[in-house]
Amino acid sequence: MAEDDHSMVRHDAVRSGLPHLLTRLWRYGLVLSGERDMADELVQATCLRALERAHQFTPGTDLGHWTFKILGSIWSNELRARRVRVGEGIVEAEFELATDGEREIEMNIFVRQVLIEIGRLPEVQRVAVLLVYGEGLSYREAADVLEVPIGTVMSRLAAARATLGSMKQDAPPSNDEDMIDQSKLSGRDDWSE
Amino acid sequence: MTGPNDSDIPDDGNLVAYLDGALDPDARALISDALRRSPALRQRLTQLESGDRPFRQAFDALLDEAPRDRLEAMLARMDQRTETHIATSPLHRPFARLAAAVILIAVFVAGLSGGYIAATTFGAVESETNWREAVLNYVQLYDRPTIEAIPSSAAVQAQDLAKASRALGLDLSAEKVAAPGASLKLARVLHYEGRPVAQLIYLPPRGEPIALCVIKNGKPGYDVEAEERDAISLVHWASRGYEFVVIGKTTKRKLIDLAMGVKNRLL
Repeated sequence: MAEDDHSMVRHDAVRSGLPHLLTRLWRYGLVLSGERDMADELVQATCLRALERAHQFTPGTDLGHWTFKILGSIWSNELRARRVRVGEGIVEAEFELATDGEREIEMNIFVRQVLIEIGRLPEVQRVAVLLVYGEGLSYREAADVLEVPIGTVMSRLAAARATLGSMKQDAPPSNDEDMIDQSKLSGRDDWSE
Repeated sequence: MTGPNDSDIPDDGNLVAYLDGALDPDARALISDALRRSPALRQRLTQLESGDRPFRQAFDALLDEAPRDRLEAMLARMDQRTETHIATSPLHRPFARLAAAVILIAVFVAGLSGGYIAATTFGAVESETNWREAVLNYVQLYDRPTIEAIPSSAAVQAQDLAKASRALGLDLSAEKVAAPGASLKLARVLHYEGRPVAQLIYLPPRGEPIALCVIKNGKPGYDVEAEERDAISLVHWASRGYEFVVIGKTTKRKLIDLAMGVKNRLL
């Protein structure tokens, strides 16, 4: 049956693409939840659902964006409630971007500081920053993944940048003086690297 | 959002888009003009600039933190336990069509002798039979480790059950669908030929998972019927336009017990 063939093509596209996305999905789960165990669960639930719904995937479109959307939906509709219910507190003090819950991760001190600062941002801002500056999505692509208007992505990025800007004096001195070089402002890649 | 075209004062979102190089040339020129005219705006731009970080480098460090081996092993375990879509399952089609044909003939013969074939159409019979075969083939792919591995919590389940209740127009709350001695692990809504199907998966203390599936198909009510095939049993009945099937790799007797409990509470 042609319908079966299409279904199998979609299933194969999803199944063969998932292994390459695991670490990125885990990172997305971690940035959303701030918990490593929850990131594991989110990846597992996302893979399961992606395979079940493989018939809804459009071959030729970005599987990463599609699975991000699934992961975000599982988080906001199902698992986030559990975190709130567990009552760990409203303040996300235990945000595990730069620690594994017990020990500090070995990493460059400046990178660690950036992750700590990102961990202090509200969830919607953290996610916008990850998708646009970490994943390199365009504003429009990020808006599609998050299912919000493009202007919302822009205002979330702006709010994140304003907050991070106000944290500036607490951060270690930048080792990259070129970061505010006006000549670099025309390209986002130059700017965000 | 305030775009640069409809206001003289760009908002923060537009300033960040300017910094990110994400504006088209016209919008960019407008902001450049506004910046030239307004010291306050230039100051705001500087504040937003100071919120930049080596984001890519920081986020890349998190990729190295991901438990890659564990995640790959998890995905490998998922293989062969997940079906793509019940209605297009390559497993179910040949068998279901054959089964449907056999049942059509049986119904036809029964109709000739019993005289009630007018109550339904061939198409409806095929569809009603196929949905059971479809869910049977689907739930056969679940085994104990698959279900044990699925994260579940009371809050998540309550939401899933509420979703299923809405989809079916039937109260499938936790109390209604409770099964003595088995814990509910999963509740989800699937679709069969455009109709919602609630699929509830229970895990008994030992043995394989048990599924309860419900479809609203307007079928006339009938009492509990049970069948056993090789290692799997089915118990099904219909009431008030809903058809129910309980499926499990266990004896008919055990399934009937579960089915009767649910049947009495549900309708």
